[in-house]
Amino acid sequence: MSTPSQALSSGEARPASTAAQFYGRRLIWLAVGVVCLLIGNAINNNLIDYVQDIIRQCGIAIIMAVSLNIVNGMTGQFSIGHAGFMSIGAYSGASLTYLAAQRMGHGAAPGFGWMLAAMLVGGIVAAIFGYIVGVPSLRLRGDYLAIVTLGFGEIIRVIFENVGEISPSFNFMGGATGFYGVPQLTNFVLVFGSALAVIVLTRNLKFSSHGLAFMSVREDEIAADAMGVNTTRIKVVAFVLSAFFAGIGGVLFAHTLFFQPKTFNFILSINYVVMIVLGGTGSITGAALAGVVLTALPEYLKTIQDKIHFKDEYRLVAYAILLVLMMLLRPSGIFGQGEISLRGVVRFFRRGRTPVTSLTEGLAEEGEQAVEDTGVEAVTAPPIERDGKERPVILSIQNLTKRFGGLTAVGDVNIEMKRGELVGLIGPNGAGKTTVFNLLTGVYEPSEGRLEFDGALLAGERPYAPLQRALLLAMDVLIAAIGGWIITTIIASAIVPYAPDAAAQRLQAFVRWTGPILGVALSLGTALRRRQNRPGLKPYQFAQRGISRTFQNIRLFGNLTVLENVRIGTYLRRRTNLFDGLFRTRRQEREEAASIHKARALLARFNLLRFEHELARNLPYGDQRRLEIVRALATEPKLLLLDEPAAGMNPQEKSGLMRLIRQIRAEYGLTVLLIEHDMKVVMGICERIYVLDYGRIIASGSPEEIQRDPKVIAAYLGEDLGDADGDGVPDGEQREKVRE
Amino acid sequence: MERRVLNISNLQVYYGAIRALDGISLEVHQGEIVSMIGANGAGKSTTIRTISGLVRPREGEVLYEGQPIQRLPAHQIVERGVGQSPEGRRVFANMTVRENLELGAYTRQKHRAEVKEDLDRVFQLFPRLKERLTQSAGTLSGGEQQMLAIGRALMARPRLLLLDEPSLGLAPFLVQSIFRIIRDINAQGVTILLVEQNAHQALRIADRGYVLETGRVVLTDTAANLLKNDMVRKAYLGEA
Repeated sequence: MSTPSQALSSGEARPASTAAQFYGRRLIWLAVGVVCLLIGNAINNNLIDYVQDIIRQCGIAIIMAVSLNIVNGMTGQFSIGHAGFMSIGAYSGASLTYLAAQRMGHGAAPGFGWMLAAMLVGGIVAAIFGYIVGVPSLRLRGDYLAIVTLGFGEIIRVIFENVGEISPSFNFMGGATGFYGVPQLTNFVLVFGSALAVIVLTRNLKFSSHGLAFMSVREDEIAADAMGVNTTRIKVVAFVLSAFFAGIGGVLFAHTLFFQPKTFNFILSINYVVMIVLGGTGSITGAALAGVVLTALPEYLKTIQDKIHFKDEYRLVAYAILLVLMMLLRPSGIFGQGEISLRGVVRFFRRGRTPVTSLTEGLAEEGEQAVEDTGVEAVTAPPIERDGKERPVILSIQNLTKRFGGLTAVGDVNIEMKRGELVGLIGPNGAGKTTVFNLLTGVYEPSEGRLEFDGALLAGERPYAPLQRALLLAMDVLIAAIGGWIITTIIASAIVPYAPDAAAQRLQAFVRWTGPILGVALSLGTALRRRQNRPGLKPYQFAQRGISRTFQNIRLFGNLTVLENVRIGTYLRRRTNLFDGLFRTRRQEREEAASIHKARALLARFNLLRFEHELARNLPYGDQRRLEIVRALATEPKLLLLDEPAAGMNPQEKSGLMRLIRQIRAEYGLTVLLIEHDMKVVMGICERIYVLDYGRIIASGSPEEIQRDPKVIAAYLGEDLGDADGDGVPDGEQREKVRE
Repeated sequence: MERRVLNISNLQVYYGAIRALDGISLEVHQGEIVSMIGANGAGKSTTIRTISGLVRPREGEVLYEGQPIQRLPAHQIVERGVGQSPEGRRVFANMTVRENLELGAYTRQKHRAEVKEDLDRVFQLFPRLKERLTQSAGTLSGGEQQMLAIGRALMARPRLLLLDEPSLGLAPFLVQSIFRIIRDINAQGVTILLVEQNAHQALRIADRGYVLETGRVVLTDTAANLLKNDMVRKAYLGEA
């Protein structure tokens, strides 16, 4: 790929550091962290117990708020059951140290190692439950998800209250009265060491490409999917990660304060939600700060109250009023989306860049210039073969049909595209063009027909291999058997008190067996039918295989910057995993530098580099459209679907854009399918054209053939194509006539 | 006889640090169709959004029927008779076509009979909408949504109608009929301020036009003269 000089000269992409530099920097930061902790510890130890206790609570609140922020702030889901994960962590961690203390006998207390083990166990157990709660979030969003998480928090509380009922061996947890005898192992260094770790990891994540993927889910799930982000996986990962940290917070809490199931109630969950809303949803700094403020403030008000002899009720009222006031003054939270960072502070003081005064200053000249600068001309583009012979077929759709209820949106469509072709798809509004795009990108599964792309069957009947099918059936049957057994065992045990004689025993045994048998029978019936064909590919899998698109109603990630939007496009071709993101490994840094470089180069090509740090939603309409194309190109597609790319541009801008699309197509060997209403554009650039009307292809051929086709003229073009005399063509009646 | 419905002077608008409008002045007379043309980011949509109260100007004045409205909230501006069909349609996707249209008449709920009348008028202009009455707006095609957006704006019985790119995403024959419809609406006594990339069509139906560049008015004349103007022909009409 050519290297635009602009991208290099601005110095934004930091050169990859050497290993020594990289690890040196890490060590320095680690040392700084340790020193800060030790100093804090020294100060802390000279304070009275009451204040020490509050400080520990603040640290735990930081962990909880920052971890909740991963789900609610970054990923845009809405969880109000965070205290549930905390209690799972608390109980599992405390059980470990409690049992250890029991075995050691009187006087001896488990040491630091046990505490670390407890934190790990608490985190992992909570993470497992995070996974369990995360799975329903695949289907639910917004308020519905909130109710599920709320329910989860309450269920956990009720389970711990009645833990003795499950098995008497759990009686040591104390049930509703609370867990007594947990060794007090939590100290300042542990709390703030963990808090720092959680903050650093979350921060690393937020600013990595993986964090961008989280935020893309928040901004627009459909667009995220189209960019190859596996949105379902991201949501589950967010829940697991958040629960893991919350579990650690719970363990720390359990080893410093007495707790009972009621401690981790709904109110506590809401408290954490308040913290992140107040701090600014999405901001780690804000969440941490609000965690401290909202923990310390009520205590501080207490000391004031003692001085002026106020009633306790008023203190709570004052606290509530303060909260409301803060929200009124800063509706998007104290920090909004922003963060405090060293670099940010430096940039704030060094800011010498000339502000952008106007969006279009010198646009025309610059546009021409940008194309020259990128050295496109130097790359010898393969000549476009007008006749199109000898090129292999890349996309073939056969008898593709999509029905919504009784309505056939697309019926029996056949399209074939050869590699490198530029094909137009035109037709009246509502003809089903965008539906075809949605079928081609996996947003819809076809009701009938096949879709082959680049040698693979992407949609249509894709039968399982026999072995695979047998395995799946076995799994279905096993699950059904276990489920049936659980249900009928419960029913059978309900019979016991009423009929303790031999007949009842037989009945019980009978009932117990019916469950698994019925379950297996029922599941086999449905599974045999359901497990014939593989489920359709998800949109992100279409993107992975090289189909990318733009949207008719622009779907950018509005609250992310222009550069970030394009970086999400590059996310698809990443080689790093989530751990690289969390720990900001060298691999991650290198990949990130490369992806930023690539994104900026693409932006430069489309003359958008000057907006790179602007929020996408602030761009003019036409530039937003161009940005969508850049984002789609960043996924390195083989087939690019453009849905009205030139809408909202004037003729000059349109022709510039079309020139660019042609160049890029040649350079990357792209195949392009284009929906567009501007006939000058379509006829000028497309090699072949398909015309869709009422969901069916009514014509296909070269631009010249299409322009002459009477069916197309009647249905779409109107009599006086290109001649804008303004008196229009009677649309409705004329179309009906031709149809008959 | 001729009255100034809209009189804008020295409008300055910023988005954060970016200056979108740099002292725009323009006027619209009773019964006119006025077109604004210009490149992307020239400030056309921002001007429209400032008039309708969606964006606050840093400086300048918007006089509507002689009254300053630049400090009024958007809903009051609608009540005074300024309707808008926004860029990119912005229909209420999860509501039916009927609900969308009825919401357009939200400011005139007391006049039930009139609203009914207006509904019929919209159906006359856009028969397609009547066919789709109970469908949710999100399932309409792009062109139908555009019709709905215009229809919804008309339901407020505006005296001044702001149209932001009404031909966006429409099939060629629909583009022609949409401009015919705009003329019809105008003939019924509605003053129209029109933003269009399809400058040719926009100027053909307009009385006067303004050419915007980088947040400034660089040229204004009668539409007929603008169509003949060399600079306009070259930059905005795509003619050599």
